[in-house]
Amino acid sequence: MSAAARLISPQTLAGLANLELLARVVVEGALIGLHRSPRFGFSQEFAEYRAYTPGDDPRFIDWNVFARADRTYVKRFFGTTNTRLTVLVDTSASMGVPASPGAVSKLDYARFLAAALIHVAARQHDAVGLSAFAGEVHVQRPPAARARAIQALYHDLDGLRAAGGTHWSALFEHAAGRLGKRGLTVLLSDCFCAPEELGAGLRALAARGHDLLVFQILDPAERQPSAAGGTTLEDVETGVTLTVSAGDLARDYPQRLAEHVAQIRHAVLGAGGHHRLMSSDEPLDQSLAEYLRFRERHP
Amino acid sequence: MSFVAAAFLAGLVTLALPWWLHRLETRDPRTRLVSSLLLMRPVEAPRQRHRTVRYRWLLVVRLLLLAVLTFAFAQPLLERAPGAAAATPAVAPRVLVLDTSLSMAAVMDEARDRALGLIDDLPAGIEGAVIGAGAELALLAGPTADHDALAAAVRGAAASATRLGFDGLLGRVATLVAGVSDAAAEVHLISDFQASAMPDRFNALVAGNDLPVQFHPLRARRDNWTLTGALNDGRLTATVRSHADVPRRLTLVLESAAGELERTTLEVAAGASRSVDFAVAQVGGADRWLRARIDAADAIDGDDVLHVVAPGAGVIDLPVYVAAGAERQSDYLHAAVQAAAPRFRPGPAALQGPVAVALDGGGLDAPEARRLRRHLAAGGGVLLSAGTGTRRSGALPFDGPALGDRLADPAAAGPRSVIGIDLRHSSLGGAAAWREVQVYRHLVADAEQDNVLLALDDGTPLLLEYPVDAGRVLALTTALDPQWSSLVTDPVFVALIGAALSYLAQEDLPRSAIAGEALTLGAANAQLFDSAGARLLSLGDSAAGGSLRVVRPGLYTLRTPNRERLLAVNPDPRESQPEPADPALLARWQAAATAGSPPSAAQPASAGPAWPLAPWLLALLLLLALLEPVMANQGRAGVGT
Repeated sequence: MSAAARLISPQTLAGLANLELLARVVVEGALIGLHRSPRFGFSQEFAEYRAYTPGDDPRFIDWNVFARADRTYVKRFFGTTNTRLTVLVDTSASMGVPASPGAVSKLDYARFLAAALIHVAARQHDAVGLSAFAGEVHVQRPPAARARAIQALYHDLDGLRAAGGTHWSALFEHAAGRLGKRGLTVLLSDCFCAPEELGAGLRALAARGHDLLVFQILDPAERQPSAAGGTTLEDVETGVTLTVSAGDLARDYPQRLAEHVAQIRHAVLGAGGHHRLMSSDEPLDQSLAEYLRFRERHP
Repeated sequence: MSFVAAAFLAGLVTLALPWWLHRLETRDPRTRLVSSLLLMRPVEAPRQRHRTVRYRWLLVVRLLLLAVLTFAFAQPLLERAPGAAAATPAVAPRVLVLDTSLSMAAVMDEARDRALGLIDDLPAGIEGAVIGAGAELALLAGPTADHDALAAAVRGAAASATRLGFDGLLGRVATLVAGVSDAAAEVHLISDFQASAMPDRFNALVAGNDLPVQFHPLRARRDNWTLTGALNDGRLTATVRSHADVPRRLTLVLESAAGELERTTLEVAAGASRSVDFAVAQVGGADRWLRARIDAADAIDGDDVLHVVAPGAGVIDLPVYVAAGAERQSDYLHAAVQAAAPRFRPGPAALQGPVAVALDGGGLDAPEARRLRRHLAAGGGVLLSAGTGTRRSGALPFDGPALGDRLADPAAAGPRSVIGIDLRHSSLGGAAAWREVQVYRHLVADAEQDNVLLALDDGTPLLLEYPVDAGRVLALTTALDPQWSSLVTDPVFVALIGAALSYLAQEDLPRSAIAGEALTLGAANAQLFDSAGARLLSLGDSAAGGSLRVVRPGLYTLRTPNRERLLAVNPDPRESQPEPADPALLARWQAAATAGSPPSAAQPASAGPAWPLAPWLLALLLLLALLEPVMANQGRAGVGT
């Protein structure tokens, strides 16, 4: 499969009604493309020997080498460790704002991405959990690796609808209580919030040993808005209207958005996490590649 | 451009409706949903919100639709440009239509002056014509270029006692003008334009007219009092109505042939009416005439006298000819006459009367048949029934239709029902009245369809009418016998005998008429005499029969071959109402009738006849009506995406 062929647009994916099928299409395409780069692979494959240092797990000492050379070496493998992946999906009304005609909404994009991540994790026999939140956490699936549990995640993802406002503190309080063991936590949101609030929540999660990956999903129309369609704007979550100038939308708003994204990135990095800005018209493969790189660095 | 019905332009206010509907929007259409206002900055200048119109092109189509509809109802007329009317001669022949109805009596002098002025304005050598318009149109002069002759006709014109209605008047004028002149003429209508002369439908005012018309309205006088009346149950109720603005004391006099019967004085308030009842005793069996009058000496004298004919209580002899073997029919006839027509007194054949009955007429002996023949030759009527004697003769009596060889046999086809009824004879009743009648035996007459008044379900006639000399025969093809039909035992039989005898005796002749009204006479050969005994109809008119038009009020004697009837003719009371037509209505009629003033000295030749735009507007309306849903659906699709 060529690189062009595997870059399936979100619009095309939206035509696939079955989320599991969608995830399989995306993931298989992405993995085939990544196969040429072994360093991104995950298997029980031997990687290297390293001299034993105090503190290494003695289970990984190669006793055969010790018998022959009377030296202690530790065997290293790629991807030998199962982990727990928890996907947090923002379902606030802002995620469902009508995009330009023919495009998918941010929530749809987040659902596709979450499905792909779940599929990848399931292939690696990682336990996967799901939390969907807006004003409160309304979907909560603890991590599990069983096939039936994975199917339930797809079903939950299918039923997600955008509504309500975002209550970040409720999310992080809930997550702090439920995400007990350490693992990977992926947040899918447009992150229209105060960076400080987000950063505080993420730091609390990081303190519990969670590795954080934040996908900030924006609509192309949000990144470069136009005055077409009116300059009176209504916040879909609060109903507040505001009249702005077309000049401000064209010149100053992109700059403010860039600053906001930078602040979000800074907040995420400050919590030891990883931030990735996504556009809802961007092929999902790149997001998956980002995840895989992250997974590699956080075995 | 002018409008025939300009009032419909008021419908343009409906244009505000789609405008308002298109502004109905709960949300400012410019408002756009966004994920967050977190990064937005408000406009610093004061914000001014406008409610804007949505779907502008759809709104335009809808506004056009309503506007075109409104204009189509207003019937716009587009005047031809002066250049387009160049083919019209500079001065067209002039036709003066002079209203000669009764109401014009008050303003006839002014009407003549107006007409003479129009003739004076007519350039030498241009033809003109004068038409008097009363109950009928009369060409008083022309078309001629001799203006003196036209003026003489105008001076000789006088108001009649008839009524002029404007319903179709211009169409009739156009037809008359087309019949006497090929040139395109201009018409001048000189009238008091009474409101009572206006038809209910506006189209009736302009129907059939293709000539430019100029109106010359005259102001009617209001100092008029009118006498009307009605005869009811032996009493004459005379009503004096005031059209004046002042009260007045009037003397009401009732007269008869014997002289003055009664006199009374009454005070009539302005615009009010007063009624007086007179007892009218029946004297003898003959009709008698009465005349009431008021000494008003007002604007219109013709409506100050009321003529009335009071019916008498006379008995009409009814000779009954009975053939041998038809005696049983006589019993049923006598019973029906007694019930339905008590004024008729049945008796032996020796009696003299306007109508005779022949039971089984084909079976009468020769002397009786000859007497009936003479009766018919003198204009009498005969009611015939069938019987075995008639069947044997092979034809209905007095050269009537031939009879078929067979006698309809009930055993073969069963009884027959009446299905064909000539509705022109209202006295025959409707189909329901004949539903129960069953005919078991009848003669099969070979009659023309036009003469068949009642037909059976096998297509053969049951009752037919045919003329014999000056008289008339009504013939039943069945006998007045229960063995022949159930007719004699059915209630419709009594009504049939009553109607047939009245019809044949010409009892249906009228006793009163409106001046100018066309009277329908059942009898041929009627003659009309005025109160002085002078014949009013020429020989040709009297021989033609059928209908009669009496234009002068008064008392007349109407004579048919066997009957004589008094006839009271009075003017139409609507002619006494001086209220003029609504000026707006008159203006619209003028605009529609003229559609651009004719070239004349009074009005320069600025335009010619006009083109009606309504058909083009209706075509445009159809196009817009098709376009509107297409655009509306496109708008909905746009909203959906």
